[in-house]
Amino acid sequence: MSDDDLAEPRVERPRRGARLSVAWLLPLIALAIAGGAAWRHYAALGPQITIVLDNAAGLEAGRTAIKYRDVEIGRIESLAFDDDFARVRARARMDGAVRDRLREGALFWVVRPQLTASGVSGLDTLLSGSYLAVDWGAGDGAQADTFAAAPEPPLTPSDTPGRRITLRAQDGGALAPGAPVYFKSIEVGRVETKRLSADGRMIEFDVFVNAPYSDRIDARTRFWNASGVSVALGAQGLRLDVTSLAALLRGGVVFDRFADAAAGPEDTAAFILHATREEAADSRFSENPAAQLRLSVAFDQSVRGLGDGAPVEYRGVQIGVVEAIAFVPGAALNTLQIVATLLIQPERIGVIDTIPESNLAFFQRSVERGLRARLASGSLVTGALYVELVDAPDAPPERLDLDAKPYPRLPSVPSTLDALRGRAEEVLARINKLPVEELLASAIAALDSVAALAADPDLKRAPQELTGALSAARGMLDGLAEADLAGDAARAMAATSSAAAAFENAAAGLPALVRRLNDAAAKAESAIDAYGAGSSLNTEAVAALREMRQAARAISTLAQTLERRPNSLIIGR
Amino acid sequence: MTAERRKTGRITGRMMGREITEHGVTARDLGLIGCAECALVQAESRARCARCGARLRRPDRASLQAVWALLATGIIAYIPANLWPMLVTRSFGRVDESTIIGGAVDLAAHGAWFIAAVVLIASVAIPLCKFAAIAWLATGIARGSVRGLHGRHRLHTLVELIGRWSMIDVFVVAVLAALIQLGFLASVAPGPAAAPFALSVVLTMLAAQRLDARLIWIAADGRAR
Repeated sequence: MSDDDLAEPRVERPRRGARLSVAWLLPLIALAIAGGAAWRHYAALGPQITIVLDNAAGLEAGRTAIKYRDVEIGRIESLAFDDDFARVRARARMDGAVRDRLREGALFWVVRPQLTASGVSGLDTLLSGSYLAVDWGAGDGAQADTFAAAPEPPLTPSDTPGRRITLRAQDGGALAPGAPVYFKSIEVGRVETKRLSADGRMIEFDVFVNAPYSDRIDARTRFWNASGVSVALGAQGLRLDVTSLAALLRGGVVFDRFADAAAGPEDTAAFILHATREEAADSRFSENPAAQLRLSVAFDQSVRGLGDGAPVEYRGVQIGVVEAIAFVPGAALNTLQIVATLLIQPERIGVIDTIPESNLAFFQRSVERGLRARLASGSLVTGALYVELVDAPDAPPERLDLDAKPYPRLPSVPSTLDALRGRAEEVLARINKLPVEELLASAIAALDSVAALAADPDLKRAPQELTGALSAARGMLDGLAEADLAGDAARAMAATSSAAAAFENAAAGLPALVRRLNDAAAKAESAIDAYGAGSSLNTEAVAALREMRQAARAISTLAQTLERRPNSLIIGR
Repeated sequence: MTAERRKTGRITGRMMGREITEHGVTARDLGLIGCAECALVQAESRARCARCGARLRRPDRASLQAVWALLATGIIAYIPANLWPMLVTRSFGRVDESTIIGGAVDLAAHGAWFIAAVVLIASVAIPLCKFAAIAWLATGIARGSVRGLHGRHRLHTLVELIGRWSMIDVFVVAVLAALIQLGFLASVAPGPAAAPFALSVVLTMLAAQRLDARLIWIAADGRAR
């Protein structure tokens, strides 16, 4: 302890006036950190942009985020009206990282819960509130700071691999934006927009097909409209195709490649949207302009039932269509001819020469061998006609008129159609001309006379006279018997009974007559029925028949009486 | 009470060959120094305490530099603590961030005036008052002010005593973040302001601690070194 007791020498350091404490490092470090943080904040503070919206439903200043791939890249700072209160301008502060992406073409939209035919989306925003999503677009536009919000999210994000094509259709049907695109029943894309073409004659659809299916699209690809349900009544019976529920509600587009389809120009971005698969399949013949041939045919008879698009067939196989029907001045002055323009696709009959001249030469030779055009009936019910090319070797020789306008003229032969029709008409005319009324009148007269005969008092008197005659004869017999003339009388009796037998025979014939009359009446009745109730003929006929029936009944009664007692004719009732 | 005044007055005793008046005597008057750790009074010339070995700290106005530095750091840290959100609440996917003052305003808007007042006093009023108090005390010492010595001493005691209560905000955030973790329904996380706020409180506490209360009185002696 002795050491500790000693006072330690205190070393006095020389004092400097303004000695700085090391503690001052602390605020310096703090300042550096704060400065760094502030600098980072302002460096990250991106550009301010304005998004113009129709309304600010679900948006909150200072809270609503702008997200890209669900990562927040900005926030709405304020909401205000534009000058004329027509729209809402949302000022948003974006992340500095996306500064370069804010170019014209960038698309903002509000993500809200949505229920559509193809599903439910944005359910998370039910709880978390809406947010703005962005699609940068092509990214080659100029830098911009004002963007118009899209009312709907883009169906296909701009960076989706795939291919965007345009489909043109005469009639879009029920096909609507958002409708699915199918390739071999796989959903591979979406219909994005539907609009009228610039010339107002077609409907155009923008369609996006995702990779890798977009590689399937080339010049041999055909698109057709797949409405949700298709019903086909064919040789196999009733066929019902339902593509999918979504297609049922919004329609759909199907595409496929036809290996033998004519290859159009490569890298085409516009395709025709066919109405049906059949039409699409047919189109592979019709789309190659080099393989098409136009001929014309003049017809003498009516072409009622022959429309644009009616098939042109050769031995039952369609080789083209009727493109147009028109009047052209005939050979003689002031006459007109009906000329149908036929669009022939020689590929279909195996003539695969794509040079129109050689196709024409083929038809030239065929015509010299007897190829003719004629009208044929496609359907007896609808009366639709088509043009049939037939081989008529025995027809008078003709040539393909190459100079005819507008197209080379194919000779025609009268169709069997007219002959058939004419015969049918003739039959009908003959039926019309049948003298039904006269026939009936004479029948009525005949029956009347029968009835008159039956009602003739002379006939009724005849038995009485016979009775009188018999009584006279009896008296005479009595006299004869007395005069022992019984043997003669017996001979006379035998003669009388033979006469009665003859009567009986005659009476036996009467029922047959009655039956025949009845038959005639029934036949007449049915004939009259055919003329319909209410006509004067009918009423007359009915009256006649009634009389006829009465007459028949009277005859029948007479016949029965005669049958029962044939001798009543002689001996009376 | 200056050193001269302590020499005058009624003599009440003697110490180290020196008369002690009724006004008392300081260790400094006697060339002694008290250990801050074990309170042993010993020769001023020692560097370390003879009993506990702790470094003997002489009242030195140079130590004010450390006070100032700590105070400045505390104030710097207090700025982001108020600008940044203290509390991040997630509920049903919605994220709510609230700063200290914003949170107090929200509380007041919901009618919780008392809690709002507590938050405002503990997190805003007290730290600001502490900054002011420490700065005032340090300035007074540096200028050798001899006025209100008792008041300043009491203020210093108060600052040291009350300083830790500013941490109430940090504790609330810590407790909430630990308790409310209900996943998607609701979850609370400390915001980026929590760390600078805690740092600010700790630094001001250290500043108050570094402020040597003896200097207040030494200034009155007029011979502070």
